This record gives sequence, structure tokens and C-alpha cells, in this order.
Amino acid sequence: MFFKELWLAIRRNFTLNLLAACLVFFSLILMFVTFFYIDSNRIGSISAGDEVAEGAQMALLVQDRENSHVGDEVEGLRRMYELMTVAEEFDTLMFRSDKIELGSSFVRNPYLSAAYLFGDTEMVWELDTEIVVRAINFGFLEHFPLNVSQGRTFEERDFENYSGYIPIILGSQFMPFYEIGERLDGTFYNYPFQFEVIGFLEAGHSGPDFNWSPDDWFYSMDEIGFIPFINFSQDGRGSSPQWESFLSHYYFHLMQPWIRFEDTREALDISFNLIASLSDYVGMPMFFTETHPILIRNAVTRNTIAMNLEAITTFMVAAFLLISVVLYYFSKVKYLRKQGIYRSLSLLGVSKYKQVGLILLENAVFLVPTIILVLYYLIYWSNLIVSWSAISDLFDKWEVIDWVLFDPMVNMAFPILWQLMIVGLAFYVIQNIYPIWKILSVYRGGKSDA
Amino acid sequence: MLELNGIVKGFSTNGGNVRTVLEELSLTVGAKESVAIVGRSGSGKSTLLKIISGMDNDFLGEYLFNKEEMRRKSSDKRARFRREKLGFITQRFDLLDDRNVYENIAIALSHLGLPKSEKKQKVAEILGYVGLHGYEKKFIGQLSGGEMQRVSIARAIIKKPALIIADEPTGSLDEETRDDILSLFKQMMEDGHQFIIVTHDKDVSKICDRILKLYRGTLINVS
Repeated sequence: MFFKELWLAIRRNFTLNLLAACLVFFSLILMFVTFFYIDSNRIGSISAGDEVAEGAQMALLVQDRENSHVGDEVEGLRRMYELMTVAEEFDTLMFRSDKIELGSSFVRNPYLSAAYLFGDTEMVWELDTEIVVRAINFGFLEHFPLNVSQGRTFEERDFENYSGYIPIILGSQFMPFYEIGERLDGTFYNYPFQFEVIGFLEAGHSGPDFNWSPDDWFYSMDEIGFIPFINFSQDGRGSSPQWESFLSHYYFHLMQPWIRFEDTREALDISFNLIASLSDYVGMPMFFTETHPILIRNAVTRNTIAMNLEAITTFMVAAFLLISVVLYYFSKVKYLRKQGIYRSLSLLGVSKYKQVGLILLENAVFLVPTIILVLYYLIYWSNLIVSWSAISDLFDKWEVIDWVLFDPMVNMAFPILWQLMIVGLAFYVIQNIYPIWKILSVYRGGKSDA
Repeated sequence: MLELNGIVKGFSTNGGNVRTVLEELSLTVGAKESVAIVGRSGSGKSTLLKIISGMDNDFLGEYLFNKEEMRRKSSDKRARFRREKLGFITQRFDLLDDRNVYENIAIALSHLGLPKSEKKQKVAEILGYVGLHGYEKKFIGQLSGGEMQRVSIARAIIKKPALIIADEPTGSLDEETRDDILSLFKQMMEDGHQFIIVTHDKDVSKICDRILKLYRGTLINVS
């Protein structure tokens, strides 16, 4: 019965329906492509474990060099680090950025450079000898695991002892140039080391940068490398001025860990007091920067959305097209199914306003609970997913600020929640247009079935 | 009772022109008079019925019902006019499929505010009148075409309307059933019901007092 009426609705205007079929096909293709794009990005690229998603506060620990005891700095920092890593009140996450200088140059692939993405098609094959690396500890890895496409990720032993080389995991862009197991000669803080490539990250894998702006926390790690933060004092190299100089740079530059603790005032106080006690104990004054005022979970979600914003926009437009076309036909079929009732009501003396009111009431029965549910979830999720900085990036790209309506829109401060509500209401209106228009046409005296 | 004077009604065509369907049409129907209107498809019969029933007031000319001007009445007042003064019998019966026979008929009494017992009694009486005694609880899908038309007739006459408008009332019935319905119509006319019937069926038109043909937008007396 439904399909018969659908067929009746479709065959009335061949051109319109051909156009509708094209729209449906186009929408489905768009949705299919963007859905898998979004899905693959979301699942494959964010470096964040389950614990991270539960939410926590982060704080950066910084050395107070002015008040430290000259000569004891390295030992103090080393002991401080050891004590912090065994503390149960908080997790210690080492994450510092630096560079290693290679003895030989490598070719950096320009295809994936930002310039190429923004339309610079000229191929520039640049030679490079520096690799930007992040020194991380095992605590970091527990919360932000590294996904490798080849080789292996770090294990606990990689952080504990120096075995004559420093293991390194490289971003996906280095895959054409190096192999697993290859030893690279280079210097780190002017001290010669060998770096052994133990793995390559998945392409597009994103990791945290711990910026102060949470929207920028996650970025692509295709072009960087990771090395373990090793406790070098136990490697038995003895002392030499060059080694002492290295250790001094190494600890002063790298030993600025983040601590992660539960998102409560009590946990914050306990953690801060403990850090203060430990720094007094080892004679290495340290202080906190102010705690990070956001949940890590929010940053993960925000960044996922930001990364996929264009794809999501495309997906939503495609979905809107598809739903609009489907609702138009649903509306036609609804009228065909009920035209007998509408006609009967007209003949029985029910006015057009009452009939239109009946249609609206009938829909409101479904619409009101739906709006309540949607509102609840939208309010809940909009707190998590709305990333205005990502949107403003998109605005820049589209030069939205030149649009005539931009200022009024900004002044209205249209939150996404309400935009979505308007889309929902638009669906509702579309769904009712055809039956209402047909009923009114009966009273207009125009062509109708009544 | 009913008077149409100089009715002009047109429709816009796709090319932007106006096609005139009713051209200076006039019609007077006296008290206790039944009229049949015949004409080819597309001659404007349905348009005329919409004007008479007050569903369309977008026309030129004058329409009086019991000396009351109808065209300038509001949509609600014209709906009330249909509710109180008119009964409709149509080719497609226009019954509510999701309701039973009793509910389909009783809906025509809803504006009177009658107690339920009285409604039940009236519906039972009218069902007996149209030959469907005991059909109250049957659903529309369980009825034959002739039975559905009888329910439609019962719904039209239960409120004792001043005028019954029948649009091709036998159009979808077989010959035997059509004869039964014709007999019922004759009985109804003898009982004082007044009809305007639009039909292609000569036998149906013959039971009326007057037969009018709608030709080129105006009515011609053919009986």
C-alpha cells in the first residue's frame, strides 16, 4: 500500500523525480565517502587511551632555577623525577620537544606540506638534517599510546636503560627514507648518539601538544619522531665534561613534566602539596603553572571534531539533502494515504484551519518529545563538541567575514545547538507543506482531488 | 432556496492564461425541488459543487442560500454552513477507513452536542432506513461498495440537512447495487429530502425534478 502510493507520487512529474533521484544518489555518495573518512580519522588517529577519556586535570611542573642549588641541579632533577614517577597521587607525564641533528641528510617529501595543501603545486625537494622529536616517558605512553603501522612501540625497558643506542619511532613521512632496525648517527644536545628506528607511526596519527589552548592540543605527528626519556645516570659512562654538559642540558630542558590528577579540588591540593614536599626534600625548587582548566576528554572530542569539521559539514549537507527529498516524498505519500480523510472532513464541515491544525497537532505529538530529547542531547553534546576556534579557521578559509550577513550573525551569536534546532524545524515544515498546501488548494478552488 | 446569479469562475493555466470554467452561470433551486446536473468531464460540474457547498468562494457573482449571501462569509462560517445545512454523497464514499460504521455516521452529529444514547438511537434508526440494520460495529473495509454508499447516505441524511449534494453517487457501483441505491434515493425524495445530483447516469438524472446540462460554462435546461 505504501509503495503503491509512493509510486503514484513519483510518477506524477518525471523531470522533478529524476532530479530528486539524482539528489538522493549524490547525497548517498557524499554521505558514504565522508562517513568513512570521519570514521577512519576518528578511530585511527587520536593518541588517547581509555583513561584519558575519563577526564582529568593537567598541570605543568617548571624548575625554579633561580633558587636551585648550583652544582646539584642534575642530581636533584633526576631524584625528583624518580620520586614523582612512583607517587600514586598523580601520574607523571614527560613530554618535551627538541631536535636531533643527523649526520646525513634526508629528503623531506613536499607533497604533504602545508604549502601543497593550500594550492602550491610547485614541487620543492628540500634536504634536511634535523628531526623534531618528543621525549616521552612511560607514563605518557600509558595515557597517550602511539599507534605504529610498522615495527613496535616503546616498551618499559626502553625507558629504563641505555643500551648503546636510543630507540626512535618516526612519523609516517619518514617511511620512504628509513627502515626498521636502521641505525642513524646523530647528536642530541651536542652529544653523539646512535638512534635505532624501531617503528613508524600510522599516517595521520595525531597526538597531544599540551598547548594552553585546548583546541590545538592534538596535531598530526607525521613529521616528528619520539624518543624515550632515559635515566642516563645509571648507564655507567662515568663523567666527562662533554657528558656532564649533555646531562645538564638534558635534564634542564626535558625534566619539565606534566602531572595528571583527578578532576577534584582535593586531588589538586594533595598533588600540589606532595610536589612541594618532594622538591623541598631533593633541594630542587619547582613550581606549578596554573592547572589546566579543561577536561582532556573535551580536548580529544573537540580536536576530533575540528579535524573533521569540513567532512562533517559535507556529511550534514548531504544528509540534509537526502532527508529533504525523502521528507518531500513522505509528505506526498502521507497526503495520498490521508486524502480521503481530509476530503471527508471538508465535506463534514471541518474548516481548513481546523484541518491544518489537526495535521500540526498530529505531528506535534511526535515532535514535542523529540524536541525535548534532542534538546537534552544537544545541550549535553554541544558543551563537548562545539569548537569555535575550528569554526573560525573555516570562516577564514571561506572568507566569511566578507559576507553581508556575517556581522548580524555574529551579533546574534547563533550557537550550533539552535542552528540544528532550526534544521530540525525545517524538516518538520517540509514534511507538512504538501498536505497543508493540498488542503488549502481545495478551498482555493484550484485543481485538487477533492 | 438556492440562487446563483452570474457566476464566473476561472483557473490560471500553465501558460499564464485564464481558462474560464463557469461563464455567467445562473441557477435557482426552489424548495422541495431536486435537480440533476449533467455534463462532460471537465465541464465544471465539480467546480460548481464546490461553490454550492461553500468550499470555494473565489468567484464572481452572487450566491444566496435561503436568501443569505454565501460568498462573503468567512471560512469558518462556510464550514458551519456545510456542517448544518448540507449532506454529501460522493462517488468514492469518503468514509473514514479507520473507524467503524457507527463512528462514521455519528461524526455528522458531533456539532449538535447530543447525549451518547440519543446518538446511538439516531444512528440505529438511520441504518435501518438505509437497509443496514445492525452494521454499527463493522469497519469500512468489511463492507461492499453498495454498503459503503449506504453508510455514506446515512451519514449525509442523519442530521436532516436542507440539501443533499450527490457527486456521481452511483459511479462506482455495479448495476444491481445502483438500482438499489436509486430506489433509496426515490424513497428519500418522497420523504422530503432535496437533492442536487451531478451525474453521467441518465437513470439517476431521471429521478430528479429537473435536469440541467452544464455546457460551455452555463446551465441549459434539458428536461
